[in-house]
Amino acid sequence: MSTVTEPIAPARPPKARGAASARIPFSSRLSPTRFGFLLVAPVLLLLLAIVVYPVAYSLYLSFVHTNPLTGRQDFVGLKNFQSVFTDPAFWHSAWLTIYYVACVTVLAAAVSLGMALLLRERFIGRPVLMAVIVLPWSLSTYAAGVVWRYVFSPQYGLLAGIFEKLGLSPVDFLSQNTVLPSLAIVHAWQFAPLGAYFLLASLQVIPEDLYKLGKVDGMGILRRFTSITMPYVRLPLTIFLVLVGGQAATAFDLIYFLTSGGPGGASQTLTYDIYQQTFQDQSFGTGAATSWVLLVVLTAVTAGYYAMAMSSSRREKKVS
Amino acid sequence: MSQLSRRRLLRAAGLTALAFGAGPGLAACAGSQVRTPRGGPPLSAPATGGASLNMRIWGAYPDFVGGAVKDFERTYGTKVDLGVIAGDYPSLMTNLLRQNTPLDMVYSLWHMPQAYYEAGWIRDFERFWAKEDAKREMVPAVREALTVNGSLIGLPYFAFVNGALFANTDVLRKANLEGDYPKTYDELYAQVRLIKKRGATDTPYLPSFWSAPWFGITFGFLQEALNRNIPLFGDGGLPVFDEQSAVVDMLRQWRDLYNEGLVPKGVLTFQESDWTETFAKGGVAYSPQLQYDLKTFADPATSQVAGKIVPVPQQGQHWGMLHVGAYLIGDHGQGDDVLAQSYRLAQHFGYRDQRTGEFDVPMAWAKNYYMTQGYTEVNNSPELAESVAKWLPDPETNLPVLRDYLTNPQAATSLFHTTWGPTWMNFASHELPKAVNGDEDAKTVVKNLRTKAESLIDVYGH
Repeated sequence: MSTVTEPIAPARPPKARGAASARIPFSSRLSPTRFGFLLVAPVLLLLLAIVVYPVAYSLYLSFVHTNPLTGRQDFVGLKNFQSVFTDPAFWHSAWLTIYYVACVTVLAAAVSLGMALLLRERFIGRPVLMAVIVLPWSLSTYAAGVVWRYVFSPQYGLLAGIFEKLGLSPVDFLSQNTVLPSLAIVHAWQFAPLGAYFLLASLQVIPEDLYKLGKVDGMGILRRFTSITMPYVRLPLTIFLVLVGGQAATAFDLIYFLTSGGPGGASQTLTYDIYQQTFQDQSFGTGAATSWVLLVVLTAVTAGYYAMAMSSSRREKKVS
Repeated sequence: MSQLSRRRLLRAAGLTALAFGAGPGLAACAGSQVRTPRGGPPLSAPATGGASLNMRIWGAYPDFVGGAVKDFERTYGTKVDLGVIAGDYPSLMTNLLRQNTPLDMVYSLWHMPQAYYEAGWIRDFERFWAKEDAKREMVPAVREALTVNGSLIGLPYFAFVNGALFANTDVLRKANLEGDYPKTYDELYAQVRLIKKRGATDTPYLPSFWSAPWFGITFGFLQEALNRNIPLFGDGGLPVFDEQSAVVDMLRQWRDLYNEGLVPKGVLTFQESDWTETFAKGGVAYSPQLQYDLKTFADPATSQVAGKIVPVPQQGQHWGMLHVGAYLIGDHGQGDDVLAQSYRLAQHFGYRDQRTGEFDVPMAWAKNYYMTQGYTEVNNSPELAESVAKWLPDPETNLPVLRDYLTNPQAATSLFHTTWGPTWMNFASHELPKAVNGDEDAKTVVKNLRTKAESLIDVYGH
């Protein structure tokens, strides 16, 4: 018996390789890493366009001299940085920035901690208050600037009106000696609600028993605050301080709307100085160099502060 | 999940570095883009329809401008995209023009176009079909203001005096000084002291824009120096002032006014609207203001001193200096057809409308807002006089005073016709307040102003 093996006719003609794989969804053929990259690609492109590119271009600008009229660019090495560091106006602005950051962080921290402690308590109207205090944070900075112009103005301002009722002469809150603290009040007013919510979340996890035990042990209110409350809020407070400090160091819109850097240069912080150099004076090289100095200093200070806070937090955990 | 290998990481890093380098490179190329060559035969008015145009303005009466744009679109069939630029208009516009943004018609103050024109960011009006007629009809000082390097670079949007001195007759009456107007700044400052001494008001003087926005205090500085005949800038913009200049004494007088509380508190951080609001509130005897704001002060809806504010006559010394706004045409490499459409839009707004042959939009500005124009025919028209008489106190006395302001105003041409003028003015707007509030001695401020001008001449050439 002979067995003839007939070639079995394929039920269907063989398909091209591509066609076979076409049945497998595209996303399944990708490795998880590639699929991940694909998902973030649009955002990555956007970030490249609006963050990485401008930052890289400003670095490039800081090493060239750009003729404001012809646009011609000549490589000048570190000359722009040298101009920045030898300009007394830069050091004046740097000092104002430090002063402003200190004022804003101290005020914002104090107010937000106070608000958080208040909101932790149970009282009638607490939900309403919780909703109301977030209002300053939800306002645009421009709107905040307009509102505070109507508070500060010695001509038609709210405070001037109160002073007048009290028989006092109006005060110029935006004069050269008071302008930065006044701006800091506005800044802190706007950002303290954020801190309050931040800290409130931490305060609410503190077991009430700890306070009761503290009272039994004869701890006063201050001692209970430093020994029980503070350890819980130290880290979130640190994070908030870094946030608000960085925000204050780069503040521009509020200063622009309220004082335009004035009177004279009394509120000309580094960010305003960068704006003036770059956009008003068309001095792109020194403007970019100043912005890089600010960026490097801010990054270093923030990183150092975080490192200190984290190591201190670790030490505390070990001790406890 | 697959690991990211070292090779792939390096490849990604390399591509990123390339992107970093390519971006600035491309931008550098864009920055040195070739502009449209100048010259060419005069253009003829185009047929209706055609190109779509971009027009950018600052936020003054955008509804009125929008209405005029609609009229233009209806009449000529040309679409116009009108945009209002908020914030620091001069800086933003400078950067938009630098970047070749396709802007066909934009507002500008007259100290900006010298740099714009020399940089090749704007087209001139040398090929405009009605150029000669428009120039002939312009107020001579306006024509000179809008002529850069021999070329007409724009058509006038407005022309009036910045720093026209206004008096509040109510306060003067209380001080028993009604009609006794000062003839010079020295007399003015003596009189404001007397007004305070007599108890008519605490802050009798509101100075001219002593704050930073829109070059404020610098305008005040330039106009008072001009009015006092103190030379600041010579030919080609060379500074001719130094620490021995009479301008030092002028700044010391400003400091005295500030120290003695003769000016309202907070003037150094006023925003633009504060100047009019403070004067309109009452209690100020004298204030140099934009001439066109006189109508605002006469309107009971916006002013508590309506009917009491009058212009102080010029008796020998000028008050204020020429302030001109212009319609400019951006250079974005447009062809003759688009340029012709832009000329027609500029003509509609800044000259006689091509179809009606009348000053339609300029006259409407003048009548509705007392925004006087760069054309004598508009400013001296019976139509405008009739309109002004409705709100100006004692028009028979005061209208000639207003016309006199516009007849032969002083102008800061030697500074405004430099490429670096706006940059110097920005610097001065932050430097001059220091002389007022005592942060710096007046001599130091004047020295800094001169040094800045010299350093800018080194950078810009002239």
